[in-house]
Amino acid sequence: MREIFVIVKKELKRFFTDKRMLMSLILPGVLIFVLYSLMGNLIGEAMIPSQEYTYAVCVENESETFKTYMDSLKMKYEKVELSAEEAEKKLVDKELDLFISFSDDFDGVGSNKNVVIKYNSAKTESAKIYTALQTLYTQNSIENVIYKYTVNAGVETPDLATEEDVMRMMLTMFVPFILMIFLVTGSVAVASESIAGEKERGTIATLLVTPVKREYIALGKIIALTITALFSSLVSFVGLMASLPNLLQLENLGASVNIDLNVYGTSTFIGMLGIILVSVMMFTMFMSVLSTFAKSVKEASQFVTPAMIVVMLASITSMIGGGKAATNPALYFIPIYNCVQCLAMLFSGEFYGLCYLITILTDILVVVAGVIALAKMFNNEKIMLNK
Amino acid sequence: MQSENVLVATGLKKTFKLSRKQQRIERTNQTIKVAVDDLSFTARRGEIYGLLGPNGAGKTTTLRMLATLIKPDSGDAVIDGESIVKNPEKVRGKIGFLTSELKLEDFFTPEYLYGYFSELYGIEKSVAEERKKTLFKKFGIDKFAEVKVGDLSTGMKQKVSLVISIVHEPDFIIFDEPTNGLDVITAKTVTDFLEDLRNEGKTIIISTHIFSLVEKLCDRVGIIINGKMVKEGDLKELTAEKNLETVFFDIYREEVGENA
Repeated sequence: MREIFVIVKKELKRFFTDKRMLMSLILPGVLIFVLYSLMGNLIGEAMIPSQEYTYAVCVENESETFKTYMDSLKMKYEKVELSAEEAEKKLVDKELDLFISFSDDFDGVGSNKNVVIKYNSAKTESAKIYTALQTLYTQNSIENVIYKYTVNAGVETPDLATEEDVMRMMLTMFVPFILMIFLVTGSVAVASESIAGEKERGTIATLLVTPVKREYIALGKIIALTITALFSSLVSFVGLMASLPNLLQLENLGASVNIDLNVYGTSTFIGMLGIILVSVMMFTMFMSVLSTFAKSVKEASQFVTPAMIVVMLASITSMIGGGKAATNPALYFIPIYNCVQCLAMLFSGEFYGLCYLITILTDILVVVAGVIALAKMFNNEKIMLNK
Repeated sequence: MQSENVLVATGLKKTFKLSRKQQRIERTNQTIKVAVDDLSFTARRGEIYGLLGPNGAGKTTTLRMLATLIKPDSGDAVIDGESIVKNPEKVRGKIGFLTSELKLEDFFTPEYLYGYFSELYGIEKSVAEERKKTLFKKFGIDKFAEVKVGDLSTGMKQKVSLVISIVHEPDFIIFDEPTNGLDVITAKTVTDFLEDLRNEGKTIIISTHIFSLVEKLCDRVGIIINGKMVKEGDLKELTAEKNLETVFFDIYREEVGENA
């Protein structure tokens, strides 16, 4: 058993003292943060109205909502009195940014009320103010129609629960997917390097002629690989979480919707960490098995590609679910898929104890089976010395 | 007076499946190639035993079986009382196996790797340190002990591999093609070292196709052709009348025929 520790120590030294290797572990996390923040900012740039610019707007039959929304968007504007036709002409000439016309009694109770918003997409400011207002009015309408707008009276200030739900739904749909991809990428890189790489370079044979039990070699490798992959995944996770507010830009888009991860309690985060841990263990195990079959790092990456696709397909289920996790406990016996669903469940703010328990137990069993298989493979000369 | 047999190999057999591509290369329709065919031989304590044969005769396969890297299809070999089939781990603790196919990781230094393998073999730290000092000095490794293996020359790497294969001071050493790919100076260091080991009473098995190496080093020799042991005996007796090269080709003609 002592030998396992010796091997773990050496493998970790390999990964954590090699600058290039260490970079490859940390870089994905940093990249995720930079890229997603940048993406979010760019989207924001394109969609969020500037606060310095004074928009020229023509309002017909003004509704109270207009002022409320403009204020919440913190946009400066100047009203221009024009007829509908004149306004359209000026819009074409880019002298006007927006024409908005409300039907009679827009703020009162009743149905058949419209708001017409016209703009010129060739002018950036015009496009921005249109997008912002259209989003706000659409959010508060029953029908998602721009030119025939039906007001649902009294919903101008959406209540807090709704905002939280919106955010939860977005996180539930996107984060488990992205997270799973990171977890699997982290384990692929280290497993193929440590096992297929050692086979390719002939260094594994040196280890195989030592009196150390092959089972211990396999176990030592997988423990070290799990620790390394977990480290890489956690860096990615932190990067992702740190970039989320920027990426989703909810703060600016909805004017009043704030992304606040505090809605998730400590127990939720512990739950997520548990899932992350078993997923990483499982991925590392799968990738180690595949890498052991491969003769070289190149071949390992070929073997791994289909496995990655399977993981991606399983992860997409979090998006299809429409922000809700599966509730049938039987489904949680499916490895990988159950991790995705558990993450979706945690992000959506629900917790089904039985499903969570099934997931953890099933996946640990899968890992144990994998380690046994791996030890068997390490004892097989055809697999270990197939150069 | 004969010393005891440390290695007794009986009826070792190993076959490999041939892929279609290999069949084409070998120009055969057979799907199975017999690499080692019913091979039996013995080595005595304190001698250097040479397995002599052309490429593809099955020398390396035999040595890999003895080193428990691969398992024989049938037959067995007992090294110092332990069976390579039943107790491969015990055998591995008793032997040192050296071949160019065993590589060291480029990323680490000889210093670190020596410590790592000593730990894997379960050698006490103080003992390992002592041995390391002696061996590193003997092979001049102390000069590049802190240089990563990847930055060493072939000769330097070979020296480090050699030293690491004997961190546990094995009494039985298996050496596949000891001087292959080495420059004359490193080759001399290696052959001198093998003689030193024999003088310490250790048993050594080498494989080679170089006659002069056998004549220089070996006490006994076994000639392998096509996986079969065709001649075995004391080097002195074998070469009493003719030199080893003539003896070998006489046997080879007999076995394979004139077209060889």
